[in-house]
Amino acid sequence: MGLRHSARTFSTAALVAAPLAAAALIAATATVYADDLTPQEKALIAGAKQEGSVTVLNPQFSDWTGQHLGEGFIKRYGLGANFKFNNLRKGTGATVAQTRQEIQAGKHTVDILIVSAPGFFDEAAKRGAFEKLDSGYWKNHEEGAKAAGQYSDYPYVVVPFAYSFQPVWNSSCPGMEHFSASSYADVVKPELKGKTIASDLTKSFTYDNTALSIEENGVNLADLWTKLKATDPLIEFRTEPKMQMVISCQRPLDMWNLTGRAYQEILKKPDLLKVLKWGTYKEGQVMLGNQAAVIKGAPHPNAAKLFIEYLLSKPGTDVFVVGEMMYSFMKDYTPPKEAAPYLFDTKTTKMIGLKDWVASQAKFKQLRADWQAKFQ
Amino acid sequence: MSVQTAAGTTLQIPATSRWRSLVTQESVATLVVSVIVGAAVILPLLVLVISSFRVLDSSGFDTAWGLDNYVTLYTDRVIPKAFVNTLVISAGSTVLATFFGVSLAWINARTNCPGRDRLEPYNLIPFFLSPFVGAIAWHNLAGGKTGLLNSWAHDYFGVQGNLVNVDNIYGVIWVTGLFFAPLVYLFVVGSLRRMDPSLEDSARTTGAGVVRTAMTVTLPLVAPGILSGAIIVFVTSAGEFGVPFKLSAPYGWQTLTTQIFSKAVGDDANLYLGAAMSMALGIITVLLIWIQQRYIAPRSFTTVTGKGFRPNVIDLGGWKWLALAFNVLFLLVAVLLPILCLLVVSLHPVWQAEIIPADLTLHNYVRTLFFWAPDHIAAATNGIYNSFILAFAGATIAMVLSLVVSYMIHRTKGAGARLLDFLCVVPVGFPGIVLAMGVLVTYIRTPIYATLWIILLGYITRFFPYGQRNVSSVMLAISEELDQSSRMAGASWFTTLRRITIPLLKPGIFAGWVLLFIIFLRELSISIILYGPGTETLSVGVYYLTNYENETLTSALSMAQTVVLLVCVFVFRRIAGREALTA
Repeated sequence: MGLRHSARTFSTAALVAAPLAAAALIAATATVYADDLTPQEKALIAGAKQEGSVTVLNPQFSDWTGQHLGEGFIKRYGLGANFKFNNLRKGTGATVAQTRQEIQAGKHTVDILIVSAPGFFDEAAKRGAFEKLDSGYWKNHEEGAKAAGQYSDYPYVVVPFAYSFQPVWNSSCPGMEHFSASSYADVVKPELKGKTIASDLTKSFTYDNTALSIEENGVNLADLWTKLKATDPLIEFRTEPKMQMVISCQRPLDMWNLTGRAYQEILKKPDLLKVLKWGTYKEGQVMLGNQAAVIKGAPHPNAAKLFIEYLLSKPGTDVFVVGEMMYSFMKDYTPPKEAAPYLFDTKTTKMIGLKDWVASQAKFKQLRADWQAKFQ
Repeated sequence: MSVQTAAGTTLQIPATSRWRSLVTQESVATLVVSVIVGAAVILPLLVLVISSFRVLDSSGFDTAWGLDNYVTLYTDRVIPKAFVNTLVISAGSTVLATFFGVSLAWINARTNCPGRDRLEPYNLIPFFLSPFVGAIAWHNLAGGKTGLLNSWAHDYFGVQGNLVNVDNIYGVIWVTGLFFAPLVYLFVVGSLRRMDPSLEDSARTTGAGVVRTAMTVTLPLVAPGILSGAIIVFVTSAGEFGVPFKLSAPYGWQTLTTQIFSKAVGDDANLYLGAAMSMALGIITVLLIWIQQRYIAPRSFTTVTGKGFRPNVIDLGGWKWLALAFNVLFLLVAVLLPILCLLVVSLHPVWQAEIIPADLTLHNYVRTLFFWAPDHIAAATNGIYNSFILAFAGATIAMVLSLVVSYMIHRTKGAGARLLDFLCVVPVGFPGIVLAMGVLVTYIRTPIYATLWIILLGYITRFFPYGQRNVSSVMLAISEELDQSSRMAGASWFTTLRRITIPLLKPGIFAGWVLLFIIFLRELSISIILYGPGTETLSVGVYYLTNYENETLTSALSMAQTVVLLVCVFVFRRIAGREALTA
């Protein structure tokens, strides 16, 4: 059975202290000690300095996380004040679409793509669209990623982090005072009519993969969609606007959101900590690994490879874990304590995934058609 | 070659001179401008047509020739509904905008409504503001459950459920209708002011009342103007992206523009299917614009005669106060309420559908406006900077192009002039998102891809006809004899343009420049398709905050954009005058 983590069990101070902790983490770990760096990192620094910039296309990193990742990256490798780190955030689909367009056109504006899209990465890797990596850190992640059933294709594609959709609700909204969710049956109850959100499967690989994963693990999707439809849900795509709906009570329950989004809003208004709740599904939490690769022909290949190394290193991992509340497959990794309230325990929570992440893409069309037939 | 002179003698002109006579400043400029305009307008549309016949395979990487994209337009579960929704929204917005536009134009131009001269410029304000921002404001004002009006109705009057709800297709019609009402107003108000009063006098003397005269004489006489305005509103509504993106798409009402956007950059992105959808939308809009230009526009001035007169001002009696209330109410719902709502929401750290005085803060403005703030949002601050660059450069380049093109059309009357005239109409017929798709597909392999240059190209291609019309209207009022005198006195074409034509056209050029500056500052449909890393615009910044942040940050940047646009409108009116505003 999945563990239900309520924010109630943690102090406000601990929860909202996370960004300060992240800043401290950067300061503490950023000083360059040559011995701390792998030979691969050392080999890339000079080239990265010369290139002077790196652009990361991803759907995940908020401005705060992007800014701190940039600062930490520049400091760790001594890239200089003039080095420019660009965090370009688009939707999961838009990131894939832009990269695919640029690969087809042979015209590249981004160096690194990070997104959860195993089917795309597999196809693009086969077409030779990615630079070969030589990572000093991947060995620390490979085993964990494999154990979690995640797709990777080293030396071209690695998985620096993962996230998992959880039920998130606002207990201050009418009718939600005593609500609690620990299974899919809980989030589609008839009494939730007018309170739910249906995540738009037609616009997201990660929603698709989550749906396919829970189906593979015993959840009857057709039944789930029927019951969800009966609650008259609003259809929305991005987790940020969905969180806004939850906060404003427009739709106080979202069956698939991220605790990182809750955390980012709590930072803006700490009182939200008292009313925003989240849980885990006893049917299993789907871990969605985010793949990362350096685009062949990218304008800054050395800086891009070095940034991948940074993401796979502990200092880099600490920054995005605290900033986005995501999960790392790094061996023996312990998240900073400030992040703990927002992360479920991966050792005790039932974790599920897909048997074949790449082949799942072929099922998207039918899955989306079925979903559309019900909701659109 | 020999030339017969007036005196009957024959002059022999050497071949080199003949060649030299062809290669003049004027002919070279005509050729260069024709090629530039032709390439800018035709090339993206041509590539779009070709792309629509490329079919993407399941890997998303390879294509083959075929008609599958067009088949999908009919067989897809969402696209046909999006098509119908687009038509419903366009029709509804047209009816609403026509109602407001004609009513307000009549009140301002033909009645003794108190304060009508003061109110007129304010009636035009929605035209200059961003409909996308209007949608954001109305969502927070009258969205289901979360709208301030619903919240107050519940708290103060115990109203259960939603008093109003704009988060649906009717909300799109409402917001689009309000924002495009000034378009109809502008088409109608001129005709009303120039109308021969004897026609109405005849009706009144035969016993018709105010309403009957208005319905049976006045309205039919300005029908071409109304129809022109209605068609422009229909076409503009069909191409509108921001309003349905905010108010209807999340609630199950997709439109062609939201679907094109989804196909251009969505999860299941398929540029080629997007191109086919763009063609479907483009054909409808071009057809309507062609009808307006070919059949309706030429009839617009048939009520205007050469006699100089002012139409009668109709005394509404006590009803004039109702007319005033109607006008003030329009300004309240179209301008004041949405702006106030944006302000209120923007002052909260998180919007919880109620005003919480203890929460009020200016921090959202710090994050979205001040690039030096440690927690600034780059997409917002970049957007402000980039939009000013694009607006300044775009308006300047577009007006230079407009000037030369207008000169070619009105001063060099030949096949080239007719072709240029046609090329200037084409972009008006294609919605911004369609043209942007064409520009993206055409220039993706070139160095301008993902730079400000590609956005600039999209802006100028789509909107320079607006500037050209502005210059043309002034140029038509200036006699060609002035140009001819200069040329006969030995001045070159360029000298004549610089010393005679441009000084005379200054008011039109400046009015066009400011108009384009304002349009570029609020543009979304083109920017959203063409922006890249670091080239976000102001409206893209608002879109980014809507998608990746929250309502309060979105409202702060929206408010900033609105204030900037209002200042521009104020400057525009101060410098160019009221006449330019309604020109």
